[in-house]
Amino acid sequence: MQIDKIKTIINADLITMRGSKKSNLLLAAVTGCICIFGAFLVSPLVGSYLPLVTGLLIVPLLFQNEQRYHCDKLYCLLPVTRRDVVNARYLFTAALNLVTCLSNFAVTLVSYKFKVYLKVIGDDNDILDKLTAALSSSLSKTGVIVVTCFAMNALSFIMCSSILRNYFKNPESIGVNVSLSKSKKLKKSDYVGLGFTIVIMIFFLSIMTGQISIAPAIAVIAMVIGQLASVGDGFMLCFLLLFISAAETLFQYFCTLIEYTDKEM
Amino acid sequence: MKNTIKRISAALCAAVLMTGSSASAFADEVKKEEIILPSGMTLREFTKELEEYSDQCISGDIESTEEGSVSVGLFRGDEVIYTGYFGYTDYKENTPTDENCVYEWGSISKTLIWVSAMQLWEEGKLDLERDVREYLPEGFFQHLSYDEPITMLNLMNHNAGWCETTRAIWYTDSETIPPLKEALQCIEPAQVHRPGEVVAYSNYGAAVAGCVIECVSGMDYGEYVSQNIFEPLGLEHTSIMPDHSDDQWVYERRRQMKSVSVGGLSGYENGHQLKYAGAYPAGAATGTLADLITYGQALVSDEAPLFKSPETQQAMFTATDSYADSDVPVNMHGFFCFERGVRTYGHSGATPFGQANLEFDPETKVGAVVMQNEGLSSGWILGGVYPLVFGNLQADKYGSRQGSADLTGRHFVVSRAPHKGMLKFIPLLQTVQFTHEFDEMGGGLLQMSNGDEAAVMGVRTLSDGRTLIESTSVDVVSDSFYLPKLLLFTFYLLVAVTASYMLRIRLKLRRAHRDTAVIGSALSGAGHAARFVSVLSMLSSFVIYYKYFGGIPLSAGTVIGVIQMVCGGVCAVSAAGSAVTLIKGRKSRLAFILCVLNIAANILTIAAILFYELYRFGGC
Repeated sequence: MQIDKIKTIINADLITMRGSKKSNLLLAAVTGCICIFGAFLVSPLVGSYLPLVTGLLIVPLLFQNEQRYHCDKLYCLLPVTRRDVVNARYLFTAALNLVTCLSNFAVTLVSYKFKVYLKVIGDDNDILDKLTAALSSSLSKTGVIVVTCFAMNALSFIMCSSILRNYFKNPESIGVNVSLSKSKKLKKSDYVGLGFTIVIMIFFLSIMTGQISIAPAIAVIAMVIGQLASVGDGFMLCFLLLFISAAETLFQYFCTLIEYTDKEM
Repeated sequence: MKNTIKRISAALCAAVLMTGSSASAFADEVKKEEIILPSGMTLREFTKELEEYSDQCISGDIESTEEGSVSVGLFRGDEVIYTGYFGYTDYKENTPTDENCVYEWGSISKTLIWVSAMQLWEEGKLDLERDVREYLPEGFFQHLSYDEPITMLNLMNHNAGWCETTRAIWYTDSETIPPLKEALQCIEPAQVHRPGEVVAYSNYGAAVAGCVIECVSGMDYGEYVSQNIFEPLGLEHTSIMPDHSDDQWVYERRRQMKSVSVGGLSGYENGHQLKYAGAYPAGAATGTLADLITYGQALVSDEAPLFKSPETQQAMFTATDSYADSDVPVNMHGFFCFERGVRTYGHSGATPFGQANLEFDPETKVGAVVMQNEGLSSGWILGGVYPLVFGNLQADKYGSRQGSADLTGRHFVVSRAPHKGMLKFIPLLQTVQFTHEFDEMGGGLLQMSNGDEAAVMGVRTLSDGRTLIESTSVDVVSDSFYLPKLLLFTFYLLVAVTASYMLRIRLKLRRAHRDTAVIGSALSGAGHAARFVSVLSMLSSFVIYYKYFGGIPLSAGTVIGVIQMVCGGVCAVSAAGSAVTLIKGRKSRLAFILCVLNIAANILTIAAILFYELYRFGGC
């Protein structure tokens, strides 16, 4: 792996990202502000969802222009191997995600420290209190916040690496150039995905209307997770979450290496 | 004229009489409300506090209410001074709580065993200090580790040395409930402490005491309690049998009661939740608030209606266990002592379907009873009533501070946990760490103060050098090897996670028509699968343990145990295969590293399976 090549590829990606006025950067900024304000005005737990948003948006933000203008084929001409491209992009997205997660973690802890949200929503409406009570005191409030942040950060890394792998497989998967006017025959996997989505929607509607009682199931799962989390006030669970997210990111990277190397451009 | 005067006089007299009797009733009510409780609060203030809480926090909407069905009663001697019924027993039908609701006593049922034991002791039929094996059938215990005798006092103090059983203690079909002796022999846990050393609250130990009652009295335990406790006290709405077959009224009422879980993130009804305790003396009593109040009144009565002579009741309320070397009692022949503003005696109870508390002050003869239909959670009332009635322990009650005890930075393991068998890893997840220093009050008594209020514990050193912290019903013991045990368990989980990814990579390479041998042979693949399956089995035993409210059925335990043994065997073969590959000579650096990691991971998994006894489906 050559560091200079990686830096060059990253620079090229940044230039491509800034190459158009149409950008989801505004969307990302607005969402980020909502989460940060939510952390201070509603609950620190609201702010901990920001990594989920960044995990979803980092790859589209970085590569939407590349996908729109088909710049991905440019790397066939440049003196870089496909391995270098994969390495550079995984390193860059992971670093970006890490900075976002760490910043968000700091914001969440600051919000919890100063508790401005309690003045806004009142002491009786603290979501953190209810969640801590639901976990039957196996975690302190600080433990709940830390575990939630780590869980969201882990999920963010997993989503980001998965989306990046999908992008390498099929650049159109980030959906910038989707046009309803173009007749596009749906593939079998599209039908499967559609069916799956409908089943999930029916499932959630059933839960919301009380047709399926999920509270007892959630109670058992919450108790089991609570017990695992109780070790060191969440330390072991956080460590496991970190390990799983790192392992999943490495796995996605490994699969991308194989798939992108074999891909016909 | 005379007649008119007579009529007017008669009317005036009648009016005076009526007003007088109303005034007298009114005066009685006023007097009652001015009763001062041991905490110093008046009954009027207590009632107002409960009513305000009820108005704010209890409603007919199960999603938002903070309490399910709760019944509260206060008594003073022979007089019932307060009863309150809150919430609903059925939220769909909007059935409010009333005096006919029945609740499960839970472990308050154990006090029936202790009263029975004292009755038999009074008659000279039972020696509390004799080894209970002399009363039980030959070979009753199969898993004892110590030769020391186990006495009835050990059973009352919960220090016979047994840990929690790994076997399920609840039956879902009332037809399959075995006789008491047989039920106990199915669930016998391991004896992990020397008798008398460590208090580990034990349902099994209490049920064994019930078995002793059977053997000594020559009657079934349920029959004995009905004849010698329920009937003399007139408890007509309480049952003792696990299927409530001894009281038809309770049988029908219990099948109308629904258990709930409220508060927290959302509330829901659990339905009728009928499960039956095999070791029923430890927790199967079910009845009304009025009956439990009557029982409590008998325990404070100077006439001691449960015994032939009041001296027996007085003897029952003498300390059998104290905090360390202090004279502050913890246990009085099975009744726990609670250090509040005044010292109270009593017992709490919890089943998965309901909770109850009974506490009384023997000096003022004031007692409080709370019963509810929430098993796994509780609102404020269950615990909040008692400080209101009896006050909080004041920090200066046991004199002045003589020093400080720093227990921070150490890990303590709960004694009431499965320390043997396939759930041996659970105590690892339930360690206690103290975050503050304690005040030493002398004689091993520790006190933790928060302003004017305090709580007490005891500290002792065991014969093997470990530190023991004593609380009301469960001790915690220091564990110097906690971190290595935690590391072993954590790495056991991590190697399983890694194994799952190795399997996915192997699958990916195969689909991409690449050589899978680059990441190891088929044997190493089998090792990955075995490690992953082992952790899945361990997690499923954990889920089953909670699903069955603390225990694994024999069938599930057998399957899990066999799976773990197979996984251990496969891991051993996989490690051996990698070792042979290494000995033959390495093919590449990557292959060498993977072989070494494979051997280490398999050895770690085997070590975890053996140390945590994950294969041990026989219980102990």
